[in-house]
Amino acid sequence: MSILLVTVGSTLFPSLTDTFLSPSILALLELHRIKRLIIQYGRAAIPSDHGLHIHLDGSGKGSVNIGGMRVELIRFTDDFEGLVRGSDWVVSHAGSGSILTTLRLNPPKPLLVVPNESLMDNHQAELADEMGEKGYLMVSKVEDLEHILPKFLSVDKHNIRPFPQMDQNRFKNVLDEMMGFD
Amino acid sequence: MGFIYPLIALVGCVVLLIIRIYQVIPSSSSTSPKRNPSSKCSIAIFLGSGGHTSEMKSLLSTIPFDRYSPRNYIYCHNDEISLRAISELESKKGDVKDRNSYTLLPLPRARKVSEPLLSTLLSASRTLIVSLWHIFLLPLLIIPREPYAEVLLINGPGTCVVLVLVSYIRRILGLKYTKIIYIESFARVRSLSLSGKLVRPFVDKFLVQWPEAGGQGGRVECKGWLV
Repeated sequence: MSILLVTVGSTLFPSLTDTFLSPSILALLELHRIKRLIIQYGRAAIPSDHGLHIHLDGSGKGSVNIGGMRVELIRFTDDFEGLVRGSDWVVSHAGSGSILTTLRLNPPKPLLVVPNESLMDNHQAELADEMGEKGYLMVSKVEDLEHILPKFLSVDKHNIRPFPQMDQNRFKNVLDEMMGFD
Repeated sequence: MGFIYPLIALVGCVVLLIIRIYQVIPSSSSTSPKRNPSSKCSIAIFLGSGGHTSEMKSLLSTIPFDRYSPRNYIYCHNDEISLRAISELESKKGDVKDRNSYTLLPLPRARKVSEPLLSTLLSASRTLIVSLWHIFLLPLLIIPREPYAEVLLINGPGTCVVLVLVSYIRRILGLKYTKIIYIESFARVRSLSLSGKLVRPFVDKFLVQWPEAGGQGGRVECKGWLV
């Protein structure tokens, strides 16, 4: 069973979450044998569901079956790492927290980052582009998803470039040195 | 003509203050005198919410809590994510038996997202007054020799500028002062954030995580990815 997670962290990114509920993208995902689509939509208003009639409960949770695929909506999660671990493919906004968590899992998950172009100071796109150039992830604009998603979903999962784990001594050494501990 | 003398006095004071600030601005990355490896060092940590908090949490997860003690956490009112980060860190790494190993200081937020200028000034001055009291005056009344903490860690956003401002008072007065480390976000690849640009000349150490983030020259240091 193949699970695709779409996540916007603690932000809102309605153009991304809405696009994943559009008929063309849903059809595309089904074609690529995605069985579960989980959309964590954050602070956005209830995603407009293009006539899917998804009923959301008080916490903003809901689900619907479309053909052979189950579509689940959640507003936030307390266990982001667990959510990522349980997924096969991750589509994320360009937040550094989401990116690092996804890439540092063992084994790392294939990650497609969609920078939010409506942000005023769009430095997040810089991060996505830099990490994309280094081969850790793929980058797409919202409007290019239809073309990029098929490429993304045919990535060989065993061939992802692993992102280095955090160096536990780097910051500690800077602080120790500055405060006179050696 | 009666106003001319007070005016001269005021201008004189401002000039003296500017000269003094110029004197105390750190010129090179200063290191403290060597100290006993088993001694303690008090630390203040600003948790700026959202991504700032999660990066700060990663940084803190690497430092020895028995050495950096007590830990004085500063965060913004109603920021539950930061409170949860503190409780996770302290329950994992802290000394549960020692109730004095950390303190909490909630501050009014200096600027909410998309807040207009005038009300930003108002809420920033509220933040300034509360921090003046808790970070400068109260410690001065209790133990005048010791600053609020020996070192302050900040990584944005806006409220941390206020903390730098308040920490500078002791420096200007020539008292033992808090050293300040600014850690720019992992998300900053080719440019600094606004709070980074504002505090860069004043902090004792300014760390970026990508070589091109700090621009040319200055005291910006890059040791690679820290989180």
